[in-house]
Amino acid sequence: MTDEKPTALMVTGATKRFGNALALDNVSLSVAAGSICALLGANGSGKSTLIRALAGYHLLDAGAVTIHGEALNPNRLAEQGRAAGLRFVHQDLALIPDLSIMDNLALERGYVRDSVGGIRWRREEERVRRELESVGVDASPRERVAHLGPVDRTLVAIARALDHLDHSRSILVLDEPTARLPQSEASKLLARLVALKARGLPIVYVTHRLDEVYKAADAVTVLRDGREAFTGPLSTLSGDDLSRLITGAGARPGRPAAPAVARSRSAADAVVLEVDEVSSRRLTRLSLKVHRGEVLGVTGLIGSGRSELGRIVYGLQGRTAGEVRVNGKPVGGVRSSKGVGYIPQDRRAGLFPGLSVQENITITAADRLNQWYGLSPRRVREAAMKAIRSFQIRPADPVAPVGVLSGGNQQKVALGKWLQLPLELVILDEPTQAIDIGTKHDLMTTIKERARVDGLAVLWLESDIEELVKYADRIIVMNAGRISAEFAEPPFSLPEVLAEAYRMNDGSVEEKGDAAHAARIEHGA
Amino acid sequence: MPHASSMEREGRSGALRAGLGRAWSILYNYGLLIALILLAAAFSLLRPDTFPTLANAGSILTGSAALAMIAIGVTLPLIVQQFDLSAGFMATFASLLVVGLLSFNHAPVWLAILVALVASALVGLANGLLVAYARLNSLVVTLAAGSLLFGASEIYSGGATIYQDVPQLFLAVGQSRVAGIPLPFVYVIIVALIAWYILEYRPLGRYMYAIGGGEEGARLVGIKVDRLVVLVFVASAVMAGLGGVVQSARVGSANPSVLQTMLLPAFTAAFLGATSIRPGQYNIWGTVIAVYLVGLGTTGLFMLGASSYTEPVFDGAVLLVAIILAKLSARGRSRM
Repeated sequence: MTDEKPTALMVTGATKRFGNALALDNVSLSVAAGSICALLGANGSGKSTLIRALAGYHLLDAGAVTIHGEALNPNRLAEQGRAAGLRFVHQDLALIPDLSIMDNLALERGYVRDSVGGIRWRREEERVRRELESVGVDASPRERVAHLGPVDRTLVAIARALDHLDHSRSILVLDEPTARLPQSEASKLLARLVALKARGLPIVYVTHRLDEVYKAADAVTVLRDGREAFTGPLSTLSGDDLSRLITGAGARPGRPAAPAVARSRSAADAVVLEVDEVSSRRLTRLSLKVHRGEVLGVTGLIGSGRSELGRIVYGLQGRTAGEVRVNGKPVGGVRSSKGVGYIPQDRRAGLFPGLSVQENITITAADRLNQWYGLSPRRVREAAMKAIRSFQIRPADPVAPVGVLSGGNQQKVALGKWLQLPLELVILDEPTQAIDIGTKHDLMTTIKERARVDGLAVLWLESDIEELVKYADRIIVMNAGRISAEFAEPPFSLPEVLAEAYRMNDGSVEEKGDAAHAARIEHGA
Repeated sequence: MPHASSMEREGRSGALRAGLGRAWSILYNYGLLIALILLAAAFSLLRPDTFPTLANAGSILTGSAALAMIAIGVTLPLIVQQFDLSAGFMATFASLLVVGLLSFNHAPVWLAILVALVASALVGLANGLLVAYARLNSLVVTLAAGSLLFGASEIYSGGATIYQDVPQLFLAVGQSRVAGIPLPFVYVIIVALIAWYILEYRPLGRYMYAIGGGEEGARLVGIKVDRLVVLVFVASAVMAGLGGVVQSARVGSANPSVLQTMLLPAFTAAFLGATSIRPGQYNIWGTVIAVYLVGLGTTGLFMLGASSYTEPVFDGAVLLVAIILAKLSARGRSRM
């Protein structure tokens, strides 16, 4: 196995606790010189916590880190790790697109200077040229980063991280480098990483795409619920084994998309939303229906087109083919059908933080509340108070600026803004992210109640599959712009849905996953 | 019963605190108006013979009328987070145009005023289209528009004041009084009332504040942001044009170099106004009160014997104080 190669990085017994939650439980990780180790795991399995701990961002409660045979002080991982050659490239590359490659590299480490402090441009350029060569970027140092493709950008970020360090003396840690890349670009990047490995660079990289693991990695470590589910060479595992290790339990991977089992209600109730053979940047001839009173949960990893589906239905983004109909009528631009509400994934975009709770809630109702003489302040206040009461928004003060409310209460305002209207359909894109469990439950219960009582149709786009399993009436799993599976009615089996979402595919990777999970844990949940 | 008495005491101190809170919120919301009254009182004490007279009050009310119109105009784009820097030159151009039409072309008064306002609306339309649809920065667009208007004003007037053959009717528009109140001030009040009503009591106004609160969010709730921004620039330009018309009707002539100097005081008033009435938000009555606060301050200082450089120094100082206060009150608002 790795006997002939010395171990470059070795982590043993890593343990990290956030409040009562054990984010890492006695986890080990090792990568041999000149090899690639893939770090795998579902949302919140502890991958990001481990990476952040290595970067010195979290302090490990227990555990030892050894680099090139030299033990590091676990309390000073940030400096000692860097000195020993441990380098990180995060998912956000933190490059400035409008600056040249040279300027980007110099931002952190400075330029080559002459005796009076001026920049020696020719020497600087020469230095950067060598660095670009060493990571395999074929571009002039003077090229603006904006002109580079995504693969070259990642490589520039790698060059910046390595900062001239000899390949064999460093260890590169990449956090989901392929997450936001289309398939073809991801393959190119992997080929470059393999080339770097061949030059002696040990690489640890986090990913969700099982297919690419087989293209690039020599060994894998799989985390599940903060524990090590598997560590070892890849050669002994099949793709099914891997997805079972990631999701746990006896999933049945590879199940084809089953035709929906018609539930009594769906069959009887009218179709509110009909997405008919819609194609777009990410979607391929996607069709689905949401019925009156139904909460349809849609999940899928990043790049599956989940969020894009919401934007297209609401008219924020164009489509290349197909039609979206609400109550049988084709939908064009934003809110061209008045009965549709939308909560975007970015909560700040769905709110006016500087405006008051009342102004936020009633903005959608201004036309409805308007009389021939204009808006009556009393009626506006009453409408706001009604929403504040029914959603239990705290503080129950209509003039408080929304920006000072807690995340959960902000989301209640965002929802209240729509749900006070007689809506036909509401599109929710991750409505409960980074919200405490109690509030989450309140929100979803309110939404389900509206669906049951008023027949509101809900298109719920969600990365947190546990939530879907708890509250959805029907679940659709998307994969690379298509529907890959459908679960027609509750109760749903969490492992089964998880297995579908993480099924080996030509897809993609989870959305923001671990960060949100870490936030959840730090919240004390 | 010690318990009851402590409750009673608590109740009394609670009432006291509520009272103080109320007093504070009045001071907070109406500080500008209170400052205006205090300033008037101070000048009245210092110059009892000349300051507190009807004639002086009338001259302050009319003298600041054009500025008030321009200031109300620039407040509207500020609400949607845009700047109209062409407002001063717009007023100059409109004042020259209206007097020119009367003087050179002997046009009827109503037609001259109408043409000046329509011309202003067209300039505003161009500004608005460039900002909303071509997605250009409003600072740059309106700076350029202002320069173009300045050039157009110079060409149209030949760089000289236009004053010949201005009909009596036009002067009546700017110089008459109704129930002792000078007409230009009446116009300001009417225009402010309309703007205030639209901003506070029509969905249109609520949408404007929503755009100011977050353009993306406004689009997401279905507000036609681009169309509204265009409308706002048209309104701003028409207000500036109206300011120009009122000014020339008041003095009976038009000068190519006066009204553009009102741009800075107009913004001063808008920023200062945002600290009051509805602290943290641009609002019409705040702007109007601030205009008269600055007008009254300048007049008072002149009466105390200040030199001519006092006005720009006073304006600049008030502008700085205004934006600092605006920042503080916005912060106070988001902390509340």
